[in-house]
Amino acid sequence: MPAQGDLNPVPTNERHDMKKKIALLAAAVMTLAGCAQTPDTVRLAAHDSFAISDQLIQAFEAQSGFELEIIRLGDTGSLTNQLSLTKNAPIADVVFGIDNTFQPLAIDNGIAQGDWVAIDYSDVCFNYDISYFEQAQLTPPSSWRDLIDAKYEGLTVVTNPRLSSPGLAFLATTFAGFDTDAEVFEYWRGLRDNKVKIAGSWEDAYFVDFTRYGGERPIVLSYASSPAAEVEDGQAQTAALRSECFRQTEYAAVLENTPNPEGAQQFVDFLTSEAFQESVAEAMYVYPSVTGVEVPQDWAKHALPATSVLGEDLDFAANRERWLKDWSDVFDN
Amino acid sequence: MTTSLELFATTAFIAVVSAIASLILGYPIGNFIAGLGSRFRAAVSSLLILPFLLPPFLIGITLLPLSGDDLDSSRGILLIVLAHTLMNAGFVARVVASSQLPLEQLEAARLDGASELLIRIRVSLPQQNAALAAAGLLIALYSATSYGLVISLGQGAVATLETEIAISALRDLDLQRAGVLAGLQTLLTITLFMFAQKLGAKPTPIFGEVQSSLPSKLGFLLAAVFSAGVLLLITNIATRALTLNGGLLQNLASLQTRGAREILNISVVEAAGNSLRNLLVAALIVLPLAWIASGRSKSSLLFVLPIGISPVVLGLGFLILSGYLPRELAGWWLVPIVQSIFLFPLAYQIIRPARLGMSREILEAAQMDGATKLRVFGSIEGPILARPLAAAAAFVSLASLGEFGAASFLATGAEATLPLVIFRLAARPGEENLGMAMTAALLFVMLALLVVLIISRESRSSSREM
Repeated sequence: MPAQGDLNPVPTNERHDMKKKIALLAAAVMTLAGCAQTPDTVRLAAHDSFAISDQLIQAFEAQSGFELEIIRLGDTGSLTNQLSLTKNAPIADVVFGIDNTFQPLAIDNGIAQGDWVAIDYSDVCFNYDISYFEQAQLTPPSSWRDLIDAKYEGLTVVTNPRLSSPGLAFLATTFAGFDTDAEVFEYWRGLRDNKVKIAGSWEDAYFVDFTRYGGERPIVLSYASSPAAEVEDGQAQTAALRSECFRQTEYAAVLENTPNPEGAQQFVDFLTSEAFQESVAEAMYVYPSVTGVEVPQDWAKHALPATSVLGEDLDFAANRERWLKDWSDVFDN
Repeated sequence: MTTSLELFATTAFIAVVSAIASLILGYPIGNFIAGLGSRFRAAVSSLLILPFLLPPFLIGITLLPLSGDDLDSSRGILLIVLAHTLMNAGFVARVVASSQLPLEQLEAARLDGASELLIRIRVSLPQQNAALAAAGLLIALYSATSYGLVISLGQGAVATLETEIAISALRDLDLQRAGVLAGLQTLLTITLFMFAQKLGAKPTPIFGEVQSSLPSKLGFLLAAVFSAGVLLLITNIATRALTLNGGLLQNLASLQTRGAREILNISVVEAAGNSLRNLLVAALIVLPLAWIASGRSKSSLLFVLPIGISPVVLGLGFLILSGYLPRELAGWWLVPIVQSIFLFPLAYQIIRPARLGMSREILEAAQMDGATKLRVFGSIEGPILARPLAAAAAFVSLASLGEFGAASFLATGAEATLPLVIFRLAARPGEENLGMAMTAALLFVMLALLVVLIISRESRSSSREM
C-alpha cells in the first residue's frame, strides 16, 4: 500500500482505527470471495470452439445437481497458459479441449489431477473456398506442400502455433513431413515470402480472415470435418486437403486444487456419456473418441477423415520449444 | 526477438517524446484558454481535458482505423505518440491556465514594450517551471504505461516493455523474462522521477483553477486544431454506436448479450457489474488513505510515485503472488487492490491542495474544544471539502472503471471487467461486436463528461473559497 510507510506521524488512536477498518474491510472482502466459490457449480474451462447444447447442459445439471458455468479462455494455447498460471488458485474445476499438441505442456505444469480422458478427435488440414477458386479460375492446391507456390501468394491464413492448437499441429506436421530441419525452415520461409497470414486463434482465422466469412484469404488452416458446416443446398462450399493431416485428440481432466473435485469428475464422466458423444459431431465438427457412437449420415459425404496422417509419433514435450523457436526465427527476420 | 535494451529504449522514447510534444503543444493552448472570457474558458478547457480522462485502450480502439493494414513499427510509434499528445495536451493546457502569473504583472511587462512571446519566455515560463515539469512527468509516466493503447493501436508491430511483459508471461509462460522486463519498467519509472525532480518538479494540483491572463494569439490555432481532434474522436465513437448493427437501440440491447458467436464469457452488462464492484472496493481503500496522507504536513513526490508503476507490472506481480496465496485469498478482489496502488496518487493530488486551502484556525479551534477527528471531518472538513472530495471520488472511479493492464492479468473468465470485454469485442471485426464496443465506449465518454462537469464545478467552487 503506497501510504503505509508514511503513516507513522498519524496519532496512535487513529492508526488503531485504521487497522480496525482495514481488518473489517478484509473480512468483508473475504466473505464475498468465499460466497463466490460455494461448490454448487462446476466451472468448466474450455477453448473458444467448445459447444454444448442447452439440453445437454440441463441434462448434466439435473443428473449431477451442480450448475455448469462455462469459461472460454481463447484458443487451446491460451487455455493451457491461463490454467498453468493460475493452477494454485484455479479459475475452473475441470478443463475440456487441451489436445495432444498442448497436453505435454499442461502435464509439465501439473495443472490436472487424475487422468486425461480422450473426448474427441479431428484431423487438422487446410480448407479452401471452392467458389473463390472457380471465380479466379485458379487450380486449388492439393496439399499443404503446394502453398509456397507463387500462384497462391497472399491466399493462406494459418494460426499462431504458440496460441492455437491447429497452428502447433500444422507446425508439427511440417517437421514430420520433411527429412531435415533445414527443409522445414525452407518451407516456412517460402510460406512467409508467399505472404501467409498468422492469425491469433482458429476463430480469428476462420471467422474473420476466411473468404467464406467476408475475409480475404480463401485457404484456411482448419479441420477435415469443417466442410460439413459449410454445405448449402446439399452442395459443398469448401473442401479439405485431406492428405498428410495431423490427427488431434482433445482431452478433459479434473483440475489440480479445485474446490469441487467431485463435480469436476462428474462432468468428465458426462463428456464420455453417449448423449454427449453423439452431439460432438454436429456441435463441434469433431469425431467422438468413445467407440461405437454413431456420427450423422451426411458426414459420410462432407466430413471424411484424412486420407493420410502425419506426426503421430512426434514427441511434443521434447521438441515443442525448439519448433517454436525455429518458427519465430523465420518470422522475426 | 527484441532485446530488453531495445524495449527499454522504445518505451522511454515514446514516454519522453509524448511528454515533450504534449508540453509544447499544450502550453500555448493553456495561455489561450487563460486569455479567454470566463464562459468560453470553461467550455474549451472541459472539451480539451476529456480525452485525458478516457482510458487509453478506448482511445486506441477508436483510432484503430488510422493504423491501416500493414503497420510497421515506426509508423506505429508515431501513431501512439500522436494519440498520447491528443490525450494529454488538454491536461497541459489546464495546468498552464491554472498556473498563470498575476495579470497585473504580465500587463506591466507588456506596458514596458515586451512582446507576448518575450513575456511568456522571460516572465511566465520560469515561474511555471515546477508545474510544467510535474505535468511532463505525469504524462511521461502515463505514456510509458499505456499498455491498452499500445496493443490496440500498435497491432503487434510496436513492442514496448509492457507488451513484452504480457507476451512473455501470458503467451510464453516465461515468468523469468517477464520479471526482468518488469524490473526495467520500474527502473524507467524511477529514472523519469529523478529526471523530473532535477527539472524542479513539485506535486501540483491536477485540476487547478483557471486564471485570467493576457489574450494569446499563439494558442488560438492549436486550440482550434485540438478541439476539432477531440470532437472528431467523440463523433467517430458516436456515429459508429448510432449506425452500426442496426442502430443505437439494437446496440444497447446487445449489451446484455455475449456478442456475435458468443465470443464473451459474460455479457457487457455483467462485465460492467464486475467493474462497478471493483470500483467500489478500490474507492473504499483509496479515498480514506488519500485523506489520511493528505493531512500530513509534508508533501513529497514519493506519494505520487505509485502513479508511475505500470499496471501491467503490478498485474504480473499479483498474478505470481496469487499462486502462493491460499485459494480463498486469490480471487477477483486482487483487481481493486492493485488498482488502489496507482489510484491513490490521483486522489491524493486532488484532495491535498483543497485541504491545504482550508483555514487551519477553525480546525485547531474545534480540536481544542475536544472534537474527535471523525467529528471534525463530519461537521467541518467534510461539508467544506465536499466538492473536491466528490471530484477525487469521480476521478478515481473513472480511472478504476477504465483500468486495463492489471485487469488483463488478473480478471479472467467470469470476472472480466468492462474494458476487457470492450477490447475483445473491438478486436474482432464484424458489425455486431464493433457496434457493441462503440456503444459501450460512448457510455464511457458520457461518464467522462459527467466527471468533467464535477471537476469543473469543484475548481470554480474552490476559487470562491480561496
